[in-house]
Amino acid sequence: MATVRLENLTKKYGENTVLDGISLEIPEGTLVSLLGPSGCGKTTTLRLIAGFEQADGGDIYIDNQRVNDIKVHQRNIGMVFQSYALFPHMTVWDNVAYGLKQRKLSKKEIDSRVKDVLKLVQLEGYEARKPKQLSGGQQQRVALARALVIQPKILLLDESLSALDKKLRVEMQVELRRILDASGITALFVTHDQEEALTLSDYIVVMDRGTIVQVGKPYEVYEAPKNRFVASFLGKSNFFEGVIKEKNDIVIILETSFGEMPLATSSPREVGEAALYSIRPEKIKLEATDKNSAAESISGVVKFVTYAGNISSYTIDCNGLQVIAESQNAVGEFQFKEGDLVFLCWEPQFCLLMEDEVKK
Amino acid sequence: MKKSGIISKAFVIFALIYLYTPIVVLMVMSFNSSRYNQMPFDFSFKWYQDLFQNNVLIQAAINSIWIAAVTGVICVILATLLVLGSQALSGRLKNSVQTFMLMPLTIPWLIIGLSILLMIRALDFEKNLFFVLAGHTVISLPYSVLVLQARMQSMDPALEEASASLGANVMTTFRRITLPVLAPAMVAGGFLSFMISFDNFVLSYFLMPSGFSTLPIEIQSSIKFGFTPEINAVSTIIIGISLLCLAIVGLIMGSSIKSLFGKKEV
Ligand SMILES: Nc1ncnc2c1ncn2[C@@H]1O[C@H](COP(=O)(O)OP(=O)(O)O)[C@@H](O)[C@H]1O
Ligand SMILES: [Mg+2]
Repeated sequence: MATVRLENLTKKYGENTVLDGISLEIPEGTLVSLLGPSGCGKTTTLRLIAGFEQADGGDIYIDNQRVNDIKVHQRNIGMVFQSYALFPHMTVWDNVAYGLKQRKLSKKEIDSRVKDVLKLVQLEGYEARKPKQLSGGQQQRVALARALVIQPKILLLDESLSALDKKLRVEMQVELRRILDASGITALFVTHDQEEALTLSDYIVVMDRGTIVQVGKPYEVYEAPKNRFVASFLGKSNFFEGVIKEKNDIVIILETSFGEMPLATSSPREVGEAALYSIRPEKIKLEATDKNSAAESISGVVKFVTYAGNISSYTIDCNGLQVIAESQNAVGEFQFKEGDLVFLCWEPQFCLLMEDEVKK
Repeated sequence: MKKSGIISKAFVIFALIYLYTPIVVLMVMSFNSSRYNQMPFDFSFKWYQDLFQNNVLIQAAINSIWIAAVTGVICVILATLLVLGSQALSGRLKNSVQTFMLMPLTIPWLIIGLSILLMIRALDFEKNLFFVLAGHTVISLPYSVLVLQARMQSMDPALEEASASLGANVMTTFRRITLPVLAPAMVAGGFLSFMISFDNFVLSYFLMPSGFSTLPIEIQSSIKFGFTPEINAVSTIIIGISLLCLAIVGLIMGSSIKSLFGKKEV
């Protein structure tokens, strides 16, 4: 268990800057997810922390000790690889005991620690099997046990669940959370699966093209995305882009390429400035009449209704701008059908100003 | 659909007959008591008994075996070092090194034998066993390299990283992970190189010092002086050994050997 701190970490492959000065602190005992599209530098970040790659700039601290120049095998870091990387010629027991043997522990100590960790990952009775004789989920747990048993300062997991099928993956998410909580370990978890990041982590770090865009608790990042990238990568969002034409405390009139849109929100931007707003589909309430007392709402025509069991998704044409609204199917029937005129209402705090620069 | 199935089966059977009839005839005739391979077939171990009294052939066989064994060991060691070494290179250099390692496959043995002979003459050496071994190594090495390369390519690079992250230094990782994972390929490659060397006539013929011979050379010269079914017998034994080697290679390498001959199943 330890605190891990990255300061201005930079990594280049030739001309290609893969990490562009990222800074991050991972508090002791937390599970932090690195979330971002493929190629944004998540694996590279892990490999730098583990010591498989050398940084071109910046520092890595573990427990306030700078580890940039410490060799991989001396860093005491646990890593669960995407391919699991179990040693094929060794049994489950020998795989798990490998790290302890390197530490020259007594046989008794090794035996008891291997036994404990196999119990933790629920693989008792599989000690004598070779990796080939295990299912994907079991291999995954051996890899986890092997990394945990050395009591590493930090556990690094690289898309460790993505090789499993959907059902097993969800099971393993719960399982992983239980195991990590039980061992109280600090963990950094790489994923490109937003659902996984939301359900699993204490903090989410959203990355884009070698930079960190936003860090926060899952609900903070989801409920208050900073910019268009986060709002659209983590969940779905509707965007309104334009120039503020009029504003008061509860409504602004946004001049967009689809005409004037009255948005129920308050904004620090002044009249005449360009701005981008977003709102999550599930935050939009559809009404048959305009319930917004203070000013008129955006209205539109329902174009499609998509039924997805627990929710229905409405695509609404507002003067040419397609807006998506989702509602719970609590009453079991559609509120609206295609062709209906609807009014879009929401609580003002859900319509968010994005930090993106917008051209006028 | 059904018709084309019959045709393709017939074709396969024809091809197999074409390939293996001579060998089967040879093997069967080694058990025929007739000196001139005549019918009717009369089963006997006569030629095998004669063979084991033929000291020249036995000595030649012993020579062949130890030359092949030494060649096999040298090839495995060299191939392992070459494959591991080329792994550390990058990009274009790696490609060209890998091409050069396999190049001897494409050069006719005749030319390799001749060029080594010319070199020996040019340097004013006597023919000796060192050059025999060197020549055999040149032609057998690519087979070990092929097998080891296939294994190396199918090996997950994360294995070595996992070992390091668990606290093992470079030496331990090599000893406990890399080497054991490569070991089956080393054994298999060794057997392949052994076979290539054991069967080789051309290089031995060029490079053998006088008064020394190998089984293929003995077989060739005894045919010159009139064919005896003893040769059938010894050939049958060679085929047996070769098949055994192949079976061992196949067993050890399992699926990796398949990737050697094109990756059909992915
Ligand atoms: N060894 C390497 N050599 C050159 N480029 C690399 C190497 N490893 C990764 N990259 C590049 O770095 C970028 C980030 O890669 P990576 O960290 O693996 O992304 P992620 O894990 O987020 O998908 C990618 O554009 C990738 O092509
Ligand atoms: Mg990755």
